[in-house]
Amino acid sequence: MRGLIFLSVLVACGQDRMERIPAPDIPPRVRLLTDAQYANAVRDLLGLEALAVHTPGTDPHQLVHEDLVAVDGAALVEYRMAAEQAARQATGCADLDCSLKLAERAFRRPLQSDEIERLRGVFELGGFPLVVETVLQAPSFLYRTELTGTLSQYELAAELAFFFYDSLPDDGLWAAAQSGKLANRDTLALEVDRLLGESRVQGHLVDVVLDWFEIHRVLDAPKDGELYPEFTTELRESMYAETQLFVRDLMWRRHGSLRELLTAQSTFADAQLAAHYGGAQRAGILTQGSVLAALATPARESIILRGVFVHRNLLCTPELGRPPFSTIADLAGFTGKLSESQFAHYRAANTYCSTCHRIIDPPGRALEHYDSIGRWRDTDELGIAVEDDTTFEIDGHRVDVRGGIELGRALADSDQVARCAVQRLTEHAFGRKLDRANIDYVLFKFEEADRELVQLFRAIALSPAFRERRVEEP
Amino acid sequence: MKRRTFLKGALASFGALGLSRLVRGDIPRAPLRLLIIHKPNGTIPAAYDTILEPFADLSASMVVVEGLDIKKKPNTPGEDHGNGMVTFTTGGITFRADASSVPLAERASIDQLLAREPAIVGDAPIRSLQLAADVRSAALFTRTLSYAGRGAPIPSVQNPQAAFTRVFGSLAAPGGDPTTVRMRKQSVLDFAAADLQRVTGSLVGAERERLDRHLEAIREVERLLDRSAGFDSSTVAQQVLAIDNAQLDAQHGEIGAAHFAIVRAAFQCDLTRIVTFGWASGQSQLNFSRLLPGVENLGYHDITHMGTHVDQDGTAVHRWYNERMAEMLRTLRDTPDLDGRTLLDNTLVVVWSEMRTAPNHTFDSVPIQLFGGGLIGGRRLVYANRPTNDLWLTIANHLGHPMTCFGDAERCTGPLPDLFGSM
Repeated sequence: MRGLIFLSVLVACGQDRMERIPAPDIPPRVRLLTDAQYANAVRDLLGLEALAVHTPGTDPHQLVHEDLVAVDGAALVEYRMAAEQAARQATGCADLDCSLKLAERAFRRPLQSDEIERLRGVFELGGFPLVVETVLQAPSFLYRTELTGTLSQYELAAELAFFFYDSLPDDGLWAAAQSGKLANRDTLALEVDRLLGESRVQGHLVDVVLDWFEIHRVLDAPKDGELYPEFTTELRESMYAETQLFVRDLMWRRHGSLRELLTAQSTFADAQLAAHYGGAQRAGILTQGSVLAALATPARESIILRGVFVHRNLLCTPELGRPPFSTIADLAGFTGKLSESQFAHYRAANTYCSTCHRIIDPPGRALEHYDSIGRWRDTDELGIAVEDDTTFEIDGHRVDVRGGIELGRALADSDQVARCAVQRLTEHAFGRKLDRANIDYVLFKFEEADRELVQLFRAIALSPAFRERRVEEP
Repeated sequence: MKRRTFLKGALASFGALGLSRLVRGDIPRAPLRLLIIHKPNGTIPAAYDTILEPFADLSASMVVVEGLDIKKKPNTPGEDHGNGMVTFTTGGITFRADASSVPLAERASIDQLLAREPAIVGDAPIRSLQLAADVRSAALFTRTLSYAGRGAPIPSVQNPQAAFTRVFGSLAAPGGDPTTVRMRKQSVLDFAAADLQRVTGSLVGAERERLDRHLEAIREVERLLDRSAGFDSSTVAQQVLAIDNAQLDAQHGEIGAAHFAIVRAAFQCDLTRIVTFGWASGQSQLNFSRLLPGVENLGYHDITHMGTHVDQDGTAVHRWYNERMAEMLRTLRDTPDLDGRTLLDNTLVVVWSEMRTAPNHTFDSVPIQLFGGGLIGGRRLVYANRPTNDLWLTIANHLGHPMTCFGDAERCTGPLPDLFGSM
């Protein structure tokens, strides 16, 4: 009921709000292709597989690519080696016109007359291979551009392509940009809906959700092999696969919502993982091994890591800082003998610790029945019965929660979590935090779609923030 | 794959060449180079002498510096190891970037300030080089050694094959490239530079600065294209090719040694004069148990906090690192430089750590050793309560940079007396 009222209020002023949304707090800018985008683009452009670059300082599983790092000598030589190899291998064009068309698609825009002249010179000097070598090292290929207050048709096509499948505009987007109608609301919606039906788009958006939940971490989380000999590479991969299949099914077969992501009863554990899990007592992504086993130390589960994870990725709680390390070190002699749960009790009772840990710990405490490798257990490492009832603040109210399933439910019903999902995924889309007004707009659309996950991606692509940039007056 | 192709080519084509550039004999005095090495997790103070033993035969070139503190601001955002890194390299506090909670540097790091001084870098085509043996660590700032400016990290290259390619991959063939080859390479760069100008046109502020650095990278390649190898890089190529970069734990020492070989060759050919090298971040979970029998089967960072024999294992790891570095220093000592002195005589090597002790994270009197480069060795200098910034200030002045303060004003008290003695 509360949700309905909330919606009706916004619907009444929705149209009005839409007109008044300020351009997002993002200046005209360029964004360097990620290594994955580079490899995909070269593959789509030239049909060359496995032409990867590894520019330093980048992490393929980052949800947010912030673009802090400039192209320096080290990155440039990566691009140069890849371009020279592409030039040796590429086939396809015999004449200048064909080469120019390739450059156009690589740059995601028509060529300017001086560029055509320059490329003519390049072609005369070294033929198609030298054109390939040149184009793949050109900034117009390496950077996504957002150069003016409103993205050009071609920039918009490229942004859609990179957002939905991490590569260059396909023929459909290219044609729509050429026609000059892509920015037209109906055409744009049609293109977005066409893309959402493509399997590579579906696969990519699943990967984005997996990165949001940091699922790759389960594959290399350090674990004490003597304590957990059963935590093999195969089991890690089973856990990763479970979540991947679960998210794929939820998003694309069931058109599931953020709620179901956090509460769904069914999952895709293979035989090995099912045996590892034992009985039921699970629901939603937070109770899956891929999340639980990564949020633990090598020896035992971690209430703090799990709590921080929920706050960072689902509640978007502002960071609380860290105590001076010496404080923790001074306590170590005493706290080292406590169980994870006992230590959490200590933090709750100690006024210095509890300032932050009364906020951080509760979601982690609700997950106490799951050990360092995601197994269910009734007693902890000291043989004490597990307590997983806890209280924490969500949507400005204190909520009592017992266990991981109830935690998922509490989060699933929360407006704060819906907003946080929008924050995290817009941050992914734009490479930086989006301002409040533009988040509100996407959130409104997300709520309108009853929080269906796929619709969140759709709402981002169709939002004004996707195509407007804030130009400061000089 | 593509790098391996290049490396194998390097083996074949440069194999027979001598050190032509090095025998010109018209250089009265070789340039002074700077190699800054980060070794993670401080030291074990009670075992410091044992840890330094691998440098025994180098002691005539070594100065051990004590009493310099990393004046880290309490409660800076993020994590102690990273804050130690940022404060040591840039001389000041971190800031919290708007777009994330990643703490970054407020200003350029010391190596970058020196790399902008024409009197120091001369015509070396690569103004500075950033290398690392291991970069596995969640946050970029815990493993970044160099910053171009505010919020502008320069990540280190971990793969020795990539590092080799950056340094030697653009050089002209022995005797120079045929005109058409050179023209083709230039035409690629010309197109990129013109295109970059077009893209940069309407941008301002940090966006523009980032692209200006791209342009500087293009200029670096141009400078390299005009340099002939003139140097037998085949033994270095061989060493680099032998690395299995997937084995970051097992090959940790070999990866470090390969980087050192690249650095030595780059110094020798005067391709660069300023290098930062990092073994690993303080948060690294490198597993030393197989490299060092007896060390606990845990990640290095975990050993420092939850190991069962922290001091013993820490001593073993620090000694192991020092053995690797002593080997590199001996090679520098045995390599003749352009001016007939040794490469070590003309290279100042600074080994530092982001904290003093890792189990409880202390930042006073961090372990620092200096080698070569105009020092009067065989000394242990003990200062009292001085910021590490003063070390960089003294070194910068020694190298010929006229700065009067490095880093935050309140973390700057002046040059360290006696560090370089009276030259």
